[in-house]
Amino acid sequence: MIWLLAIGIGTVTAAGVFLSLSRELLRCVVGVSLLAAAANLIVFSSGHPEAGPKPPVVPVGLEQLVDAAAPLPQALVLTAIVIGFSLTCFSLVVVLAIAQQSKSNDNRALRDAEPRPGPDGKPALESLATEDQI
Amino acid sequence: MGNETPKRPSRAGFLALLPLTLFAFALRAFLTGAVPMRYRWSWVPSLGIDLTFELDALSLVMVLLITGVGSAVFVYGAGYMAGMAGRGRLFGLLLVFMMAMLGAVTADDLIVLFVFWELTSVTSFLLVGFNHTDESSQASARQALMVTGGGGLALLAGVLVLADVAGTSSIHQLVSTAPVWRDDPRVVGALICVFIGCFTKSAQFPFHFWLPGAMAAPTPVSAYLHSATMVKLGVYLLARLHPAFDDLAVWEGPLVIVGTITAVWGMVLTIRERDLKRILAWSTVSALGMLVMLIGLPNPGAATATATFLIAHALYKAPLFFVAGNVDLAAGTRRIDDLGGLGRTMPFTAAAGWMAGISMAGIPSSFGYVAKDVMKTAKAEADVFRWVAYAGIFVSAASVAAAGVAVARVFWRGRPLRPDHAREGNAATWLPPLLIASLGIFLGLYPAPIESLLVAAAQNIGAATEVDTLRADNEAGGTALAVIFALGIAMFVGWDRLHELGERRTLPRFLRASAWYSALIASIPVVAGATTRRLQSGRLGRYTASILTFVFASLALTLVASVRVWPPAPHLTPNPSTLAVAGAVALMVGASITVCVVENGFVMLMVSSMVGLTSALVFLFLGAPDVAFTQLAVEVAFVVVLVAILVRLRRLDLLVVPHHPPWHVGLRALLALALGTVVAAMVLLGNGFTPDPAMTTFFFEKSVTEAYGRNVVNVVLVDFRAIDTLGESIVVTLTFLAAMPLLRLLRRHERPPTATDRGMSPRAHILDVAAGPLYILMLVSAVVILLRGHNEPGGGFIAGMVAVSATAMLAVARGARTAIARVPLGSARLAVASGLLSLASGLPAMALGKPYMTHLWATLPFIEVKVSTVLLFDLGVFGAVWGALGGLAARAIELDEDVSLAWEDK
Repeated sequence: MIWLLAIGIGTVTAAGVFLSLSRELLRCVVGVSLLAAAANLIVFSSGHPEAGPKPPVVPVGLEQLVDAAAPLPQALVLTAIVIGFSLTCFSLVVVLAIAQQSKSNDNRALRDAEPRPGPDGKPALESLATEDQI
Repeated sequence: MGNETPKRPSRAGFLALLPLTLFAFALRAFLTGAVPMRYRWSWVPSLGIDLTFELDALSLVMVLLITGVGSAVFVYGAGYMAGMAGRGRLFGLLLVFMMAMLGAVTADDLIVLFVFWELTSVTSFLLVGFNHTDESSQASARQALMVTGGGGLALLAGVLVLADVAGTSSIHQLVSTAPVWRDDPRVVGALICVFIGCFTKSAQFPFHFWLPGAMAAPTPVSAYLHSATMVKLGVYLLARLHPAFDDLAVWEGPLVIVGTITAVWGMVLTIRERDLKRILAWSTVSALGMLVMLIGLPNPGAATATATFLIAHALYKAPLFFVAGNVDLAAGTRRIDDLGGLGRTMPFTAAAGWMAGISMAGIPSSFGYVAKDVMKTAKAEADVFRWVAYAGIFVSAASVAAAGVAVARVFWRGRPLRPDHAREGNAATWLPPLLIASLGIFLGLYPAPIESLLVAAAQNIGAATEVDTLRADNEAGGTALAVIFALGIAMFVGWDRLHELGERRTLPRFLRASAWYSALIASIPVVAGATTRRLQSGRLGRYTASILTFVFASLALTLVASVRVWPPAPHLTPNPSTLAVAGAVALMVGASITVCVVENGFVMLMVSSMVGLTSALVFLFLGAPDVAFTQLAVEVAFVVVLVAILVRLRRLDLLVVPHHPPWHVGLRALLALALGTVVAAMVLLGNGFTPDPAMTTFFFEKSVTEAYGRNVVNVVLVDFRAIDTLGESIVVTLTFLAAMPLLRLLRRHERPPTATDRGMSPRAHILDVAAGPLYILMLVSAVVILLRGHNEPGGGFIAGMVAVSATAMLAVARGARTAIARVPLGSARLAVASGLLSLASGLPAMALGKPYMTHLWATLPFIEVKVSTVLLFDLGVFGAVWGALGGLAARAIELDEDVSLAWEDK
């Protein structure tokens, strides 16, 4: 089972890395969300999942659970998924704002925070965006 | 400048009573045999650092120097600074410095010693830069701080390694356990660092250049810090550590070589000077070199010599500095060419000068002679270092000459009086040098009172046996003495000629340590600029790549360094559950590869959500239904939001894929494969680690009995780890609140709509009709999921995500404004109110005296239904997720439809 999970996690990580290194902003965000998915799977795999376990739900009539999947990694992953989603939404909005402002979805064009050095070695100030460009 | 009527000394001179009292106490402690004393307070017990202070004979020698010279300095300072501005600051700093010095020489813990050590560097910086409006003072102060402070950092590194190797930071234990650990290879590195620290502090070659610069300080400071005490701190630490390393070649070699070079070179530079104070400064450098060299000499006599010379030097050099200060005050110049015959008008200063000069020259009947005699014996015993003895002869001869220049040239009555306005200052300026210098003569004649102290100190430095070497009359050394004096007098007579020779033959720039220092300082901004330009390329891709490469490297190194136990090789059993997971993983792998190669943004999006869906399947098949449901609900909402963003990007013509050259794709693929492999290996190896089953068992046993819930995952979320969950739901709310202003900005700057915009957000009629009932149905299921969550799969997060999907669906079908209007309270207010509800649900328990977030249970009287604050908490989570993420999704969709709606409204 762990081999299957490792293959899956490795591939998703690789895809996440590949996309997050893209020059296109949107693909960067998708890449990061894939990395988040891989991270969730890693946390989940730390619970030693085995084939066909019972979910950690105590059957009616019993007071205790004996053999079931580890609940703690599940609880951690569950909240991580929701937080990951909210952060992805946030970065999408940021990407949109950036793309609209710089009129490009190529991340090489995003140089407002660190403008190219001018002839004197200092940042060329005229390349800084003004407020109404958004 | 002439002081016709001496000014009244400053009353701050009474501060001398403090060091004087300490001096008396220290003396009493020694005379009554209370030494060694130990005091101990716990400081950082977790690191094993204690505020331990130990006063043994070596420390006592230093304490007597610090308090004794300190008393003189306070009195002298009161006279010297009479009427000058900033007296209070000077005395305050001197007091701080004195305390720091006392701390440094009595600390038994290396870390504590380091702290005081650095404090002396800082006070030295402030005192050198005392005339802070003068630019050369500023430069000197900075230089002194850079050299000694930088050396201090090296010392810290060395001390930490030593403490790590030895397992203790107590000097006491370090020395006694030395044979056990000192063969550790790390000791050599640690010693190099300690050497750098001590050599910078004690102005050893090649760090000697800062000391004459430090002469920019007022004379009391020069006498105290830069001659008698602070610069001896490095010597002190070397002497302290000496018993631990005494016969190691790596310890003795550097000390003897560097010490001798410093002693000789310091004297060469002394001859080149014409400024009285700088002559004294360079000869101090030379004396410090002698001390370092003596510590390194491998024989028992050397330890006695070190202790003796330590005191002798202070007893003649401090008065000489005071004398130089008096001459400076009276004559307004320190150039020896402009001074002469001052003995006539400044008799007391001259007397002090003569006595100190006799001691410095090592003329019999002075303590300087006793020291020189002991040193000669020490060197004579050191056969291996024969050349050290020759160097010693040169240094001694040059001291004779320097003492002659500093005293005879200035005060000799036969010389014409220059300048003729120079007069003696107030008593506070000449009494201290007179007292200290006469003590130097007294101890030269009767060394007995100090002998036992010196022998005891020598035993702290080295394995010195009871050697009675303090003899004022040593006949065997007569020839050597004659040679030294003949040579010294010749140098004194030929001083001006030697000086001219030195002036003409300046060292080439690349051989001057100060030039190296300036080059180093100048290179800092250059290197920093180049590094910044290189690292801060301004390209997002490069930043990401460097971060990921670093992650890869650290993971890979960890994997290589760790013990690798691979899980047993996979065997495919025809178990339906395994097959199901295998299928899901196969889909996941396929989707991952596809998402990397597709061009079209929409297709890429759909495929990427496949990854999420397949991981939901994996969760489902591996006994995690709650996680699977959450993932499914999230994927639905994610696709809706992404499509909205994509549509907007397309309308702005921003969906064009930038060109990626083949090398770019290749490098990315390489890094992706590398990281993917390493992460997969990490997962495999992590499987060998068995988590403590106690935790899982705890949840399994207590879930029903103590938290009254059958769904263990939900119980963990809302009860056992409720505060974590609370934090997480607040994070979700915060992302929404952070996105709000951005979304508003994006809407406000909307460009005017064009006719083509209209078709961009087509409404599906069927969806429009179905949306109403569907919305209600989804909300009802959300409530059901919420309510049953404590006992069956479900709960606040999942219910919240279902509600988010409902809102997103409604926004697509009927417009975002309608959807937001249907969220109770409005999305932002719902999110915040729900967060507060979750927070408040933990409070009732506190009213009953239980810890925060202990959930309370009660059974309603008539309908036999259990109610609990847990439900309020989960309701809060539900509301926070719905309000925040529903609001975010709906507003993202609104961005896309905004134009067409606005256009329709007209």
